[in-house]
Amino acid sequence: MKRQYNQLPQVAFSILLALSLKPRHGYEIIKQVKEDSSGKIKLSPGALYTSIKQLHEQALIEEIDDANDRRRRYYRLTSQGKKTLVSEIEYYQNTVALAKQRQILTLDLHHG
Amino acid sequence: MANRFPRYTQLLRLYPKAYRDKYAPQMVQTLADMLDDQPNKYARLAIWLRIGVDLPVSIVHQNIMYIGEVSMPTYIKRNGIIAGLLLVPFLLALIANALTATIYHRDLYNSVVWSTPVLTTWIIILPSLALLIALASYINFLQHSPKQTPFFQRLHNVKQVWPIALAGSCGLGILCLVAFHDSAHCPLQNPLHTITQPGKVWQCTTRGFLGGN
Repeated sequence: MKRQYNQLPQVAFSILLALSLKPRHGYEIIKQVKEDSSGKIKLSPGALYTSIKQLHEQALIEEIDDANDRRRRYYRLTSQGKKTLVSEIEYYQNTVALAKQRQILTLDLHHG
Repeated sequence: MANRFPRYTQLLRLYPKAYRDKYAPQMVQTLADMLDDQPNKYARLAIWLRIGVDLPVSIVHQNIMYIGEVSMPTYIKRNGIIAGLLLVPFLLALIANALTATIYHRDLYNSVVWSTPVLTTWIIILPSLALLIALASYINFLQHSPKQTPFFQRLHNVKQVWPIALAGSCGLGILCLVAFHDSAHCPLQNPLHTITQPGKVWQCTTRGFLGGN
């Protein structure tokens, strides 16, 4: 069954985006998500690992060991995770294109 | 690492075991990384405050998810829902009575809801049915549980039967409430008294059990 667009919660999408560059451990993910969202998304360990568990169960990310850092678990995107991320980004691209076409961003509501 | 945050580590024990075994060490490590990276005590305090909000939410969420993940026979879920629905009229009647009393300053004791056949249905027949369904499901569950599991372990295997355990307990609770409810000491009349002695008007007095006019 073809996956529908935009099924990921915001935090899960942000985590996938943070892992798109390289594998990261928990705190690196938190920092990257904060940076990517311009400080709007500040994750704590509880919310982070809740999302990581869900993404892991959906086989969108996987755990890897780092020989130089035994204390931390690292996470990286699976091939399914990459496809999902691309699919989500395409959805947002289409949404932004539609918003531009309808000039939503220049309407008064943008300033209100 | 766990010794660095003993209270935080203790709170992590509230997560389901499977989750705790897999993620608790990483949560402690991530917290340590977060705190070590902060420049001053106010930034560290802000992190602890965020965790104070985040952790309870996460613990509740994971425990709810865990309940949903527990393998449970279909008939337990179905019968739990049916038994639960049978108790809804009781709750609705009490809520309606409380709302009417609050808003209009009068009760529903003289309404059709409190008339003998209707009252008997929602305070005795439906809760009894709920209790019977729950008991029958539980007995069936015990009979079909793996025989190698010790009997007493099967007996209190609440994780796999919690829907019927909850509905059955509520049904039993309602029946006990009805049976032992004292009209004479409470503004809420004992429905059993209303049924058994329909002509009698029960007052809230201190005259003792079954005291009425």
